[in-house]
This record gives sequence, C-alpha cells and structure tokens, in this order.
Amino acid sequence: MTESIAQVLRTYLVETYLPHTGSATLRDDEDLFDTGILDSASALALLFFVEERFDISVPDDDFLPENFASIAAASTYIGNRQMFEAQQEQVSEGGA
Amino acid sequence: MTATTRKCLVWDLDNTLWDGICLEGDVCLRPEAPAVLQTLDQRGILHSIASRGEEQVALRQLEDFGLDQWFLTPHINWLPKPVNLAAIASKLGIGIDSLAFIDDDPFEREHMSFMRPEVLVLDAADLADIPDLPAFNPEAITAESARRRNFYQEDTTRRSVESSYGNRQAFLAGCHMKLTVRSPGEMDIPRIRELMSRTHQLNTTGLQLDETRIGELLADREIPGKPRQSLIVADLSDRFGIYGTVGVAIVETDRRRWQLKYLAMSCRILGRGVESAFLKTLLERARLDGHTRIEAALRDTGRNGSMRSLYQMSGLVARNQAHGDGTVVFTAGPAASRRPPAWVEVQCESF
Repeated sequence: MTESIAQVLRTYLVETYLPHTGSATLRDDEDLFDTGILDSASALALLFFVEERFDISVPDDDFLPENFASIAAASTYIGNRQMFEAQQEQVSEGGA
Repeated sequence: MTATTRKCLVWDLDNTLWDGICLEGDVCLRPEAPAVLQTLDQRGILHSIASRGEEQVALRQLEDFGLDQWFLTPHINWLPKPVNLAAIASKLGIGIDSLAFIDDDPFEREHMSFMRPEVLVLDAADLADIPDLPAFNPEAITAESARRRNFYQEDTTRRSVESSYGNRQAFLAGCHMKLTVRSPGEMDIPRIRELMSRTHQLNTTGLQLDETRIGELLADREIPGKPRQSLIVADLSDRFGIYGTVGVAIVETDRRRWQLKYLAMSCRILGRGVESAFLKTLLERARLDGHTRIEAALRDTGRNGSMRSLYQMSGLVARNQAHGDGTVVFTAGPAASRRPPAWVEVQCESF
C-alpha cells in the first residue's frame, strides 16, 4: 500500500517539477526542500494534491515539514492518516 | 527539428499583455496586443493565460479591455508557470509541444525552458513580431527565410543552455540569487509602504502603516518599559537583473522575547526560495542574538495561505488559537533549525 502512495507522489513531483530528469533522479528519502522542489507555494500545491488524490483532510497541525519533507515521510504520513480517518468513520458509524 | 508550428499561445499578463502590474494599480494595454490576438486567432491558433496574480482581479481587467473572449482556460494563480502550462495543455487536449509561452520576465522564461523544453518561449519585447514567426504560420512553408533560420539558431542556443542544468536545484543555483538583508533608511520609506499595501499573498497580518509611522519605526527609539520595534528590509538581485527591495519585516524585542510582528514579500518573487531565505535569516539572527523565546505572528487575511505555508514549512508551530483580532502566535518547533535554501546567497548588512 505504502509503495503505491510513494509512486503516486513521485509521479506527481517529477511530472510537475522535474519533467525531463526522469523518476530515477528522485529518491524516496531525498529532501524535497533541499532539492528546490518544495517551498511555500509548491508545498501548498502538494497539500491540495494529496488531499484530493488520497481523499484525506490534512489538519493544520499536521502540515509540517517532517510530514512532507520526502516521498518516504509523506507516504508514511498519508498512509497513517488514511487509516486514522477510516477508524474515525467506523467509530461514528458504530455510534449511529 | 520537426513539428514546430504551435496551436496555442500562452500569455503572461503583467508587463506582457499590458504594461504595469494589475494588483498594484492602473495598467495600460500594449498597443500591439489586439492585432496579435486577432491575427493568430484567424489562423486557428488559440490563446490562453499563465500569469501570477489574483484571478478575479485579472479577469475583470481583461473584461474592461474587452479581451476576455479571446482566452481559453486562463490560469491565474501563484503556482510555477510550467505547472500551469501542463494543465493548459491537458485542458485543451493538445500536446505541451504545441504551446508557445510569452513573458517579460527572464527568470520565468528560463524557468519554462528548463522545465518544459518542448515549449516555445518568447520574450514580450518581441510581441509585435509574433505573427511573422514560422511557429505561428502553419501554412507558410518558406524554409529559406532568414527569420526562420534565426529562429532555429536561437532555439539551438537555448537548448544547449538547458542541457547544462541537471535539475531544478541546479537551475536555481545557476540564477545566482543574492538577498541583502539590512536596516532601511529614510529613502526606503516609499517602497516599504508600497510593499505593505500591495502584497497580499506573502503578508503575515495585512498591517498597514503610513509614511509617518514607518519613519517613527525607522528612528528605532527605545522607549523605557516598551518593547523595541525595528524594521528590516531585503533586496534581491540575480543574474537576470536587480529586483530592488522585495521584503519588509518588523521585529519586536524585549528582554525575554523576540517576535516577528510583521513580514511581507513581493509576490513576484514567490516560488524561488527567497521568502524562506529571508525568514530563516531573521530567525537565525534572533537565535544568534541569544533570544530563547522566538515567536512569529500571523493573522489569516483570507489571502495569505502561502505565508502560513511558509511558516509551517519553516518549522514554526502555531502555539495558540486565534486571538480576538485573529492573530495566531507561532513558535520555533524542532524543524526550525533546517537550513535555508542553499541557492540563495544571503548578505547581512548592519541589522
């Protein structure tokens, strides 16, 4: 599951910011700030992409560099968030 | 090279379609523009827009000029222009290699050539010549024309420049951006006021000060019992030219606390890491000065989402819920020690 999230993110980042360098140039652990990919505007664009593509809502408190600084970090965060939101849904359904 | 005719010309707006900057006051349509729009349209070439700015403001301006009907799927926002070009190509259902892009800013042009080498990139200074370019003459096959040869030659030069860049980081490094962070003087007052009133995206609180109040801050008087407030500005230059003063900050200090009361940066430089370099420099200086309680204020103005993103991506963490006036105080979290972008060289002068 985590692998496919990473692939989606890599495709998005490479297509958007590194179109002719090839996906091999962006490693999972590569720092997206140091590589010039993420800054205040593109981080916001990534946030919108992630929320729409993975159908999650990222709370302000989670919009942190440690959660989005690399493909690996973002994949872990997104995976956890999806699980958390699924549990929340079950809880609210159970209560209804 | 084959297939050089273009199906769509994508326009920048400020200082390209019109002279002046839409968000900063009156603009004046470039006299050559209507003829170019019409001529290309008659040849079946589409027009679109990739421009920085506020969509509603720019669309209203286009309507005022009676030009809105010419443009399909305009993209007016704060994203990198290569991203917008890809979106336009996909919306129109044509290849990105059938787009041409016209812009006055050499940074934007080079950025496009680097990110999307298949796009034909044009200088706004050459607007009047556009209908003559082979790329916009699908029928005319005048292979021997000098103009066409020139065009191919230019294209070859451009491509060799591109291939010397390895990645985006290298592109940014190749721009040789220099940010000078300094204490302003009297002569900076008009520009400071202009930045405060005209920037909305990268603006922490929307604070407005008149020139008298800015002058008082410049005097930097210490009033006993009151925290001291000082002004700091940042000037930018790169290998394409000098941008002048692009950032202004107000810092409040007392014995216990350092707080960034206000920060604004010109939207024209958004997306190059410059805003991050300025913020990092200020935070780093606070640390070097021995302050342990480092804070930064932010008020949601409905338009400054980029600034909140900058804060959070710089490792600042919201410490409280909004105060009565909507101000949230951020403090430096564990990630605040991240390095500033390596491609922006920062020089500090007397601040």
